[in-house]
Amino acid sequence: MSRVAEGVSPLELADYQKAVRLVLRHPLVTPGYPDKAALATVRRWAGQLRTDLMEVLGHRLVTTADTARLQRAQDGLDATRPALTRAGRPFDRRRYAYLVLTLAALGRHGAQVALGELADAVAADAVRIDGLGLDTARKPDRDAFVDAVTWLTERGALTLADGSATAWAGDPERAEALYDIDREILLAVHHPTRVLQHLTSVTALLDSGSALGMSAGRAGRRRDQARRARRLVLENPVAYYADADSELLGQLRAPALAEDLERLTGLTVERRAEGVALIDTSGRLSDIRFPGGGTVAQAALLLAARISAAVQRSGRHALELLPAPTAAERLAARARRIDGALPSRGLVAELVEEDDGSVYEGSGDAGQEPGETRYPFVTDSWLRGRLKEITGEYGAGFAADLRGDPDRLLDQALSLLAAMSLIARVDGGALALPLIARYRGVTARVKTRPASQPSAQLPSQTALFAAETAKDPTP
Amino acid sequence: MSDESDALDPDVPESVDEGAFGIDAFSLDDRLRLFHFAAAEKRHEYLWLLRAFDRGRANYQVLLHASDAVGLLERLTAEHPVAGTVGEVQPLLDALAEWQVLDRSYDGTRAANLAEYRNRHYVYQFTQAGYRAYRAVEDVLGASLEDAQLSRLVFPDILGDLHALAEANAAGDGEEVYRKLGRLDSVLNEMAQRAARFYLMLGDLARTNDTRPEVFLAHKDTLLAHMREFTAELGRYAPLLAEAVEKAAATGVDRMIEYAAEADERLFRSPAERLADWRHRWDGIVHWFAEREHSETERLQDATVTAIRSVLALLRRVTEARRGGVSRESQLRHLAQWFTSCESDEDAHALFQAVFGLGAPRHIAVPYADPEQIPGRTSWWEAEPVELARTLVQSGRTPALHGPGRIERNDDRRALLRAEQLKEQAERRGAANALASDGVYGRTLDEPETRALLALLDVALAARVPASRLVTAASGSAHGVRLTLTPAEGPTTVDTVRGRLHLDGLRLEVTA
Repeated sequence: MSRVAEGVSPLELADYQKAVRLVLRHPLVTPGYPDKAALATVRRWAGQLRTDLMEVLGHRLVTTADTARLQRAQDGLDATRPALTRAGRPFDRRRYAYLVLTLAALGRHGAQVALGELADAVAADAVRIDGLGLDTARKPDRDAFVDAVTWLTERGALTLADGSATAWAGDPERAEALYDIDREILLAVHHPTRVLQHLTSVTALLDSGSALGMSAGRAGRRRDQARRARRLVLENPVAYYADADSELLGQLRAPALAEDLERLTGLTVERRAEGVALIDTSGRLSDIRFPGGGTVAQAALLLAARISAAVQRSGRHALELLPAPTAAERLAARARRIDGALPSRGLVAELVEEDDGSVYEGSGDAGQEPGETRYPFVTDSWLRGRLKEITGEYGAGFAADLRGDPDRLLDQALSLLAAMSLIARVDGGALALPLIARYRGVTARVKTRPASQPSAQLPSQTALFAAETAKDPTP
Repeated sequence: MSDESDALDPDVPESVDEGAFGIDAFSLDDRLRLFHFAAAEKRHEYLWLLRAFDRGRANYQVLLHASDAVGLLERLTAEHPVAGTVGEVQPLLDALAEWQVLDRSYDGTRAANLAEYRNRHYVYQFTQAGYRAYRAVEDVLGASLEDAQLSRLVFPDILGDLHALAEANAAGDGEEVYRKLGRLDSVLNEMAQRAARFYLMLGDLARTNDTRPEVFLAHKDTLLAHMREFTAELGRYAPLLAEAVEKAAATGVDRMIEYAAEADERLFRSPAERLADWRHRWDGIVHWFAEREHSETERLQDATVTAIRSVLALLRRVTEARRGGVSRESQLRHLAQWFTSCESDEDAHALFQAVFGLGAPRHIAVPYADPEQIPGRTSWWEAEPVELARTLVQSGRTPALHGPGRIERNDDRRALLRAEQLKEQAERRGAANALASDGVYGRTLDEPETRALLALLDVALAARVPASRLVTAASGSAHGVRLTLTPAEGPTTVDTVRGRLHLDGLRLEVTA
């Protein structure tokens, strides 16, 4: 492989790395999305980006006059990166279905379309789908449809020319909205590499190195594994060695991996006994910032500190150790569920099923070879108790709705920790994963300062936080 | 054009006067009733029966007995098996006679026996209106894409006819005026009809492409080339035709129309009607070609340009939809079903990622102050935890960033740059004025003057509009003077300190 960022002068490297982070963060860039300057940045480096992203990660960058689209090679089925409405709520199944039906309906329209007209077209398709339907007389249906349209509008596939979608959702009889359609962006939004009807499993959409391996030869196989290892580190909070099969393990441990990724992204790779993590120092690459602002993030961070404190207990109070499902097992379970929903699995599908299944089941076996790794387990009730303590101490600053609903807060906080690979959620509780140790003890100091502390003690407090940090005094 | 306008005028057939005969005796309702057969339940049978009559007509068998009709039908069946489905003929004939598509009359010959008399009682033939109705239906049935085209080859003919018309009128040749005017009229009629049909076809194409794009894709190139050629020809001929119309009009419009009306041989028209009719036709020609705001040629050209654009858009849409074998649309519908069938929203999220791949990387933040200190083999549990901002832990707020730094200003340097800028400006203006007052030829331009001249040339050449018939000179202005490029005989040369500037066929003029 040629060197990463080969044609980039040292002076411009930072600029180039910014472009890399931009494309990775936003696989779809349009003239107005994510912002006006983005497309120019990508276009400036398009050639080098195309080479590097393909060489290093196996991603394909496709640029047209008005779009830049990164077609990512994917390794897993990830349920923690949903499409979001403008209000930041994740899409539900209905909204996803409306989104793709809207994409389908827009293909039939010319340069412009009225929202009501589009809704009718989508409704006509929706009735033909079991369990969907779109009744424009129902407000929830309209809201869901408008969320899908808004998602496209944010990305520039549709541009509001007149009227208002919100007003239409409120009263379709009296309000209407007119949209300009951008065909190029529309095409870039959904750019399938495989014909969906021909799939027998969702895993066929993933880039499974093992499927290619046999025919590609050893060099090709090693290159694929190297790309997979880099993707694993680049796109996930942490790549645990325990999750990787032996081949991937070698690639993860290779010193070149960190070098390449650091030169590509300008970020730091942190290597520990348990795995590799890329640290987002730019604050621009990660879709979620952790630790970050907000009640959920704060509660999650405080919870993480308590979990890791519990992990460090020894003797009689030591936590029970349980095995965590490996990445391969999680993938297989998820794939089985999604495949179960695959429409019209006919005879052909059943005939090839066995072959197809082995792709992910096989790699699952490989992951379990070197003795099971076990992680400390904390129960849900224990977690609930800790969250109650946290709310008691810091609750004054929490968002009111979450403070009043501790179950929801706990669920969201644990989801966040799980999304960052700090814990793994299992039935009845959670397993503490090694990365969580990075944030252990953060509360140790703060804890000494109750919410209603008399002001006389404050000076000594401030002195302890001279560096504006909270540190664990007993490493 | 006159025939059409009459047919469209509802008054004419309604005001049937008692003495009218033939097709003129049909009222509007009668005429519309002629088409009943095309919408009747047994329309296919009617159609085949009428085709049999048409076949008979071609063989000069105009009057047909019911039995003759059956015989002709049988012969048709030999060629088109479908025709064999026609059942009992007599009720069909009765109905057609009722609608006046066929005319029924008594057979003049004598019957020998009762059976023959019953069979041969009536004879049938097409009425004139009925035949037209039948032809109209056949036209529609037989219409296909092939006959939709724009006729670019007629332009030279029209131009020639217009010239001949002007000559004939000047020479006082009445019959020639009549012939030419009549021909122009029919050509225009045809052209208008073709254009209408063509745009109708394009509209059709746009509507039906979703179901059957094959036809469109097969012919897209010819279609586009055809339209491009047509606009090009139209653009080329429009001014010539306008000129020819002018010339013909100059020879005396009233006289021309009188000649034509005189030579007109139509039997059933009064001289006043004929005069009005020919004036109407001449107006039509003027409306098509004369150079004015909304002439028909201009509209046609606009329409064609618009059509080209829409065909291209259509093409894009069709090809996009078909990319990858299975249409994008059916794939998306399949996907919608998949999403809907998912057991949980989480599965749907995962499916969304797998299909769209729009997710972003996810990483923890907060690096170590000195990451090198910790060796890579230590466990996360053994390595020191990272240091966090206090606000993050205490109040869930990300630490505030420092405000923007102070902007460094260097006033001396700014003043210096500004002075230089002013100096340059003054120099440029001086040079430009010198060019305007002393001219560019017959002396050597100094450095600032050369720079000013080249800058002006830049502006002028950028402003020049190519491929325009009228614009032959170009000009550009800057620094308060104006440079004009005018065509000149032979090359001209400008001497400058940097060298000599040769201009082929152009002369430069600088004016203040």
